[in-house]
Amino acid sequence: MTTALASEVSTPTGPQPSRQRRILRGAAWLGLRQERTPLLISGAVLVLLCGWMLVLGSRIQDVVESEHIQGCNLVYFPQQCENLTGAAIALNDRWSIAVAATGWLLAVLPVAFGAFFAAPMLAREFETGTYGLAWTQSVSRQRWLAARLGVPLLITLVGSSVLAVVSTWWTGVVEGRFAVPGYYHWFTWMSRAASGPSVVGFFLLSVALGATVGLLVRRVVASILVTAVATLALRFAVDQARYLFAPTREVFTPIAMAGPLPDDMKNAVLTQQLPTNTPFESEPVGHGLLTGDGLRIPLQSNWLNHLTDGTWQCPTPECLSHHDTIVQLYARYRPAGDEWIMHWTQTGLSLAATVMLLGLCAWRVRRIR
Amino acid sequence: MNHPAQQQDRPTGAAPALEAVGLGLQYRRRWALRDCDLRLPSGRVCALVGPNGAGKSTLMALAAGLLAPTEGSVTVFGNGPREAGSLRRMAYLRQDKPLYPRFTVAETLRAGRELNPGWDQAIAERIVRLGDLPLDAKVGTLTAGQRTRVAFALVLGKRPDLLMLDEPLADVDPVARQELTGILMAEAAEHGTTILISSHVLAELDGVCDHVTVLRNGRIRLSSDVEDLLDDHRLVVGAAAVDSDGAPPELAHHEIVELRRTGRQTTALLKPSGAIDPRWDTSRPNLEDILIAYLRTPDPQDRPAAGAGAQTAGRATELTTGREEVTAR
Repeated sequence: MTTALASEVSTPTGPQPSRQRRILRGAAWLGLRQERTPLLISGAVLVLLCGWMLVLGSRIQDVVESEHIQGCNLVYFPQQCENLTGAAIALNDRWSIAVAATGWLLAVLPVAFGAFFAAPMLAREFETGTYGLAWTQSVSRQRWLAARLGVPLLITLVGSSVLAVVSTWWTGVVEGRFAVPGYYHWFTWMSRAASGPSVVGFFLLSVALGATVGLLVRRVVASILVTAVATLALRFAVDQARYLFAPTREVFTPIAMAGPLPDDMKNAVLTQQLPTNTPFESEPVGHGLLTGDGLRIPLQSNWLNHLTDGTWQCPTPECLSHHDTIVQLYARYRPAGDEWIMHWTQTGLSLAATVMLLGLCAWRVRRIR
Repeated sequence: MNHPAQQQDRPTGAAPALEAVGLGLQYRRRWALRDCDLRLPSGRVCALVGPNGAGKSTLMALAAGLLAPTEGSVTVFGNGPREAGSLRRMAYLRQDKPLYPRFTVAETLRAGRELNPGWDQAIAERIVRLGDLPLDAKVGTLTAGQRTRVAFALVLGKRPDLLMLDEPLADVDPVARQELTGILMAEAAEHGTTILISSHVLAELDGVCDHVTVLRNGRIRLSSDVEDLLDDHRLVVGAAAVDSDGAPPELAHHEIVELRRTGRQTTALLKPSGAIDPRWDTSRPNLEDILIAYLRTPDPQDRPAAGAGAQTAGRATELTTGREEVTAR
């Protein structure tokens, strides 16, 4: 009441409806107002998606707890789960399509946000000529750009942080429980794209890339297409560099390999997983056999024929020719703890690219004539 | 860089509102503007006249800092147009009048207020109200004439010292045109605003501007005070000359701007030097007569560049050259 009264007193010339609420001032107000509708739509998508993940995740969690299958999933079959696999499979049958769809949505979302929200931001200014309106006000081009990109980036930071929290929890709930290949482990692609701080990095990168493309291409439709392709390319590059600071480790296990099998032994074999002795939930990078004089013989599969005398049957001719000198099984891996190094590397690379793209925008906007 | 206004630190009050020195802009191969020297003192209302593609919009966009010159320089009150101080002091209404289509009228005015420290909401609202524009209407739903009014409100609300208007009134009705021109002139008179206005409608410039600049093919063809222009020129009508190739001998000692023959009658626009032969019917031309004459005839400086093979230059033009050579001797 008092504020309304005060504004009436201070403006006796007449009602000025726009003067009542001033959250943002100057160019920042313009930056927010221009992206108001797309930001509201994005906010609605965020709320719906988070709500969906919370509902579906809680229901899955409930089933897991009531059926006591916390330790049992489709990837690992511990001994104690033998009589509970029915419940785990029923859970998969019930929700796997919904989980796969959600995973794809989470993976595509930053790319779509960059293409449909960020790319048109500046491209439309050039397509409709309104950049000329903004650039002839009392605000320098740099300040205009700072407001034009700063406001959406700040809102993206907040929104994607909320999404990151929810989707990290969600990924933890569904990981390994469903026959959705990207969601088996922390290192499979759906899991690593949709959890941790990486989510925030990917969204900020998409916005910066979309804005840069819009500024360079200056056409809305072309910018959308170029942004989508460029975002995918850049995301692929970041993904390739995700283990920059997570070198592989190696573990050695004594092993004895059998020579050429006598005919009567051929039936006495049992296919078993090699005892690589890597920690639980670590990412296997490669394994093979090591001879006494240091020769490495890589193996493709970690399932081999285990003979009754405790030796293993050689799967390759090379192994066979060195079988008497093979002493150890080596296995390279990344432990589960590297997940966070991976996420912070992805985030750091995304943010570095974001900063470089924003610098490019700032440089470019000065030079547009 | 050797610009006088930049060399000495003149007080901004003394610097011309707009000064171009050897200004040129090249688009790929074509020069949109070339060798443009223009000095617009503060407080003038200057008309910028020229055919389509003459470089009017280019000159304004360069002065507004939207384009960067290929050669030469342009300053606004002594400073580069992209400096924050210059941006604050000038307003530019582009020919296509870009506005944010999804903003309401009120939001458009608010954008003006948010982006300009010297914003005058009263004048902006007055312009909008006079057009009966609802403040909550989306700009995208307005007619071209209504959008022009909003764009006008935006540039006048900025309270600029230099106002550049590129074909501002092309799509408003005659009543609104008169009304907006009236507001513009009142603002200019009250605040000493320098106005540079380009227009095709030559008649509407009469009585509005006190200075006129004619652009042709990217070069300045004429730049003069309107009073001087009206005083210096005479329109003469008489019988066709005997010599069909030359100018009428009795007009030979005057500078002929343009010469036209219709049947037996010859009409000429002159810059008289001395008395005009009384057999010719002499009258004082209006601004439109003078501007059309200059627009129709190419700049004498352009002619050697145009080449002898260029047949587009009319015969009357060639005659003018001959006369000028005579005058020069």
